[in-house]
Amino acid sequence: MIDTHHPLISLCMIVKNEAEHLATCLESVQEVVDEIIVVDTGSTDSTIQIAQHYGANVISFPWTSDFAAARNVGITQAQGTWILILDADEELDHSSKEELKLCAIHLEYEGFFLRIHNHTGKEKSSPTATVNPILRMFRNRPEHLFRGIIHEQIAASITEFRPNAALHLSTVMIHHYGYADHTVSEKDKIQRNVTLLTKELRRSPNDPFQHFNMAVEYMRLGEHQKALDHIHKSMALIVPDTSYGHLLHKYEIRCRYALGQIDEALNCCNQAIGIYPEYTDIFHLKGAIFFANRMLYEARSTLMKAIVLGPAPTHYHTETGLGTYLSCNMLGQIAEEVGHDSEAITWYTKSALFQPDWVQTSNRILRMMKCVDREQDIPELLANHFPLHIQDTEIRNEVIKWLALDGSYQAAQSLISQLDTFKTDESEASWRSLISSDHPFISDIPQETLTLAIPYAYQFGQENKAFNLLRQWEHRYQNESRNSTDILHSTEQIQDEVLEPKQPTESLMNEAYHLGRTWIALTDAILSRNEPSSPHYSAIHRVRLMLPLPRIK
Amino acid sequence: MNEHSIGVHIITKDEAELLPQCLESVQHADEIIVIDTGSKDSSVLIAQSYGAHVITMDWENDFSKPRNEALRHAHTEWILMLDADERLLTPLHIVEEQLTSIDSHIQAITVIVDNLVSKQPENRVTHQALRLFRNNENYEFRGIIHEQIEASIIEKHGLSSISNSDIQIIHLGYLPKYLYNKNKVARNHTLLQQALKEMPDDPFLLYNMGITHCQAGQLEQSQHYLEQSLLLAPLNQSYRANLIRDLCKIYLELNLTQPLDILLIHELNRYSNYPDLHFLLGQSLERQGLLERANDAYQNATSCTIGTLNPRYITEMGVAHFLPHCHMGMIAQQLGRMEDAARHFHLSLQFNPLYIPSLKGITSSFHQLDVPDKDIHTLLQQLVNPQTTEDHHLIIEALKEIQAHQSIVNYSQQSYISNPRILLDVCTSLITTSRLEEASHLFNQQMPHLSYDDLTVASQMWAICQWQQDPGDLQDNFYVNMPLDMCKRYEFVDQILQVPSDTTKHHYPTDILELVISLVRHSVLLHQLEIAQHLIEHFPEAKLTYASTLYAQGDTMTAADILLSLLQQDLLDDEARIYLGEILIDKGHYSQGAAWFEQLLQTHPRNEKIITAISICYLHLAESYITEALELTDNQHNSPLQEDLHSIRSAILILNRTGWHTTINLNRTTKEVSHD
Repeated sequence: MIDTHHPLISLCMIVKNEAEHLATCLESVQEVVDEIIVVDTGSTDSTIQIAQHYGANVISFPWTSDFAAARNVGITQAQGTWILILDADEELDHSSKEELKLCAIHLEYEGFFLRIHNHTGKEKSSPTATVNPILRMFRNRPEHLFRGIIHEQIAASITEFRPNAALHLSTVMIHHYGYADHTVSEKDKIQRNVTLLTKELRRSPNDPFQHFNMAVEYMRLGEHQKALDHIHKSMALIVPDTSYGHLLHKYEIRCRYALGQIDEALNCCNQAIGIYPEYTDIFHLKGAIFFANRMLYEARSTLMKAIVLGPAPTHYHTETGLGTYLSCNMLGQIAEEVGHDSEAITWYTKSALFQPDWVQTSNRILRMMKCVDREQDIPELLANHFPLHIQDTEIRNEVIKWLALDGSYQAAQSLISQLDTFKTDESEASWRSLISSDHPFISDIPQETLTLAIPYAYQFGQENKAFNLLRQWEHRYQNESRNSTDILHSTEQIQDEVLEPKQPTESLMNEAYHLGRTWIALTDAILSRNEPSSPHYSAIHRVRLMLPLPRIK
Repeated sequence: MNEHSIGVHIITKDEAELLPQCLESVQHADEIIVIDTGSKDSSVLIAQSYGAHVITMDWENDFSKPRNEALRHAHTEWILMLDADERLLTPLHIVEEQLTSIDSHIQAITVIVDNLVSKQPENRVTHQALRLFRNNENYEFRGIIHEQIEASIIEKHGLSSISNSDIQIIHLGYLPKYLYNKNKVARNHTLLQQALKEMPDDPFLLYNMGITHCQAGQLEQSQHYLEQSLLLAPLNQSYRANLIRDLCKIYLELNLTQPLDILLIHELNRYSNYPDLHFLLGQSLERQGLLERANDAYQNATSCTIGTLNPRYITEMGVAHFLPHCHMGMIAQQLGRMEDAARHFHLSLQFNPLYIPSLKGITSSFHQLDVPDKDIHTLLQQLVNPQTTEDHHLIIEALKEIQAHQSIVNYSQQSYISNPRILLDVCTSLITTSRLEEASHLFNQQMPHLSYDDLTVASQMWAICQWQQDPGDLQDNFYVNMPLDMCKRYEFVDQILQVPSDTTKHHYPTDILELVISLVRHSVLLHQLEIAQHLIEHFPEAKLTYASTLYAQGDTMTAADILLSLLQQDLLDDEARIYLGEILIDKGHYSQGAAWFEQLLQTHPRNEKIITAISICYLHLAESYITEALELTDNQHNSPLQEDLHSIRSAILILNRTGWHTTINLNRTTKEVSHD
């Protein structure tokens, strides 16, 4: 695996107890890096064995509460022309392998920014919260060493020696997992970082980067005033064109807003826009602040600017969806608030087009179509705007089911009839037969069938049948509910651990949810009878749009 | 003619009714020229009697022609253009004084036109208009309707030759009685129709056509023309803002809140300093239950400063101060923020101390804040500073809101008791507080001075008073001032009450039953329940009224018992059925409430009230099931069901804000509860 010639890329990592992630990370850089140097700061699991399995040069180095020191131990051992920095919970995207290798040939650059995609979950498919360009590959020179106890930074030492050093923004994609829930949100870890940073700041009180880092930690702790103080210190100290300058502005706005300083937050937005006119995030943020303060016109025009700009240019730290689906979605909400239903539908449609996961947004569109009396146009809308989605049988069936649950039976039916390969939906068949039968109630009809059947009967002139079914169902639920408390009660008394109360609870929960859902569907059905000429039509129309949407899982 | 002489020019056609008041206001003018276009009434004679130079000419469907004709006959230096339904409010000599001190480059002056639109003094609309200008052969009127001279002046001397003044003109022509008396609307309609034939895309003509339809009460047509006009009107036209205001007023009248909201969200950015538009948006949002946003809109209306107001905006009186503050007060009340409410009502009253909704609002807010009635009364006295009986009546109206009988009773010492409305209010309070003799005394004294309608009400109250004092028969003095037919009805009822009641079914004449029903309602309102019960023992037909009145007065439980017994006899009307349903919902019996209202829906399938009641029941049922489901989930805090519950509760809140529920007198309810 390792090139016998002069190695080109040296991967340098520091690890401690990373057995869970390390293999994925090292697997992803196979055939890309020519050398792996792992500095272990005291693992007690199989981290070292895994590293060695991938041919890494493992250096054990006792932890000194200093990330930079540990990093630098690895770097000084590296033989390659380039140093690549990764953490164990990161992974190089498969499609970026070639680009990274190509970067390594370009010796006119001193370093490359890679795009770190911070995922909220542990899967590659989990949503990306933020995308952050960070300097992660740089020329291996003795003076290129890390500084800082945490958030160790290399950029300072590179630019110090070569103020004109050419740094390139690549589109190489690195996935970073567990950003939100797993790793970072732990309070202890933040507290630890704060302690370390305090130490660092005592040593170098005028380091703008550490002030910035401190602000980030305080924001995570929800201490926005303290965060703001450090942001201001950092702002006063940085030189123009500092890579995180735009982030300071964004975070300043966030803090001001969180502290309820609306006017100041808006002022900060204007300042930031003056300096970074192409930074979409600020426009979205400004629009969101306007929206939250019910300044709908201003919110709308600001968000439209975000849409025109599109996603922020690559050298900005950005959150996915800003300038695309999140901005569209907010514009949809604003239009709804204004009462402009057709405009809202247009924005939601745009939003859904941008989004890989379109279900939630498309459900909102379908709901609105029903409320504005355009149920019959739903099949056409889906065919025109989402042809790819709707051709997928699985998605299509899901949509049909959702429509029926939302009371759009006719739209659901016309979608079924359009299916090329006619495949009868079992549940669909069962709820239809249920209302046509004379003695409709059988004790073990599944909840979902009832949730579909009852509002259907109610909507189409068979109210008595609907209530007959519903009353019997409520009765069944009450019996089950009584039985389950009995079981719970008896288990407590005889301390029988074999009986697991978990099972009945879950089915009971489903039953209660579906009963609630049915009443919501009936609410929508009765409210839809209100005529446009009646005095509170618009209030009632808004109530219909406000009702909870069906949840398929 | 001297260098500042003023000539008044008027065009008439059958203006005999209003012309005198118009001429009266300018009778000392140096010259009055009246162009009559074919009056069949005494307009010409009236004009001549005021010394006007009258010229008759044929009506040619063009207002500019007679106006320009008048200009040809003018001998004065200045010309004031008036309409027969207007009156110069600023004395003429003051106008002359202003003219003597005016710069020689000024060619024309705008005045303030106050349009009265209803009897209420606060219902008026003001705007500025160019009405006073120098006599110059180059100036001419243009436009077949709403003729204007402005354009020709600006062409010659530019905008800076026009200055504003505070000279005031009162316009009566928009008062409903004059709008319909005269066939002006029809005439304008014909005129505009002809003009539109030649210029179908003229936005100003379309605008005026819209106004004309609106004046004729044809709101849909008006909406159509105004929308057409808005599509075509150039952005820089000064009437465009007014056009939007008028269109929004029509939208509101037609309950079209959606197009109103959409239009204003954009236009308010352009006309952000036009208070009427903010106020209209506020009304629309308030109607939709969007109270927070409505409050924002009203707040914006109050921050439009009058000083910097565009003089060409037609603006309604109070729309930038006492009206929005009053609405903000009512919103704060709905949201339970009584201090805020009181503050807004107080602000509103600073601008218009006689505005009754704000007086009532401040009274009920302070009452809710547990301020003693006595102190509230003192505050009202300070605010209103009453001079007339009318002013005193406003204070009593406000005090009635909180049933401050003790304070109202104090009014009996005053001389304005001779005002029949105050008399009835004071007597109501006297009877309610069991001061029956004093009430009887007042009735005895004042009966001869009452009109028939007041007498009808007063005699009912007096009868209740007498029966309560002495269960025997009504005294002779009761009948003294009463018409014969009324006497007979009271004698009839009085005799029936003397005999012991039995269970046999009687059939009484309808007019007797009507009287009894009214007596029962009054007995409950006056808290004389024994009389009411005594009456329904003899006249069971009045039971329904008894129960319904009790219900609205807050004694819902007693009402419910009677209503249920009447239900068994199938004697409920729809109103009472709704009360029973409301009681079910108030008690939290949502399943039964839903079933009850569903039954009512069978006979009233499109009734919004019933639909709302049913949906509220459904939503409460949904809420309880989702809550149970949530309790059975492992991670309650992060469950999406929390979100669902929140939506359901917001939906119920908005539905309850539509006012579907009968308003129940809360004062009584709170007393009732405290007895328990």
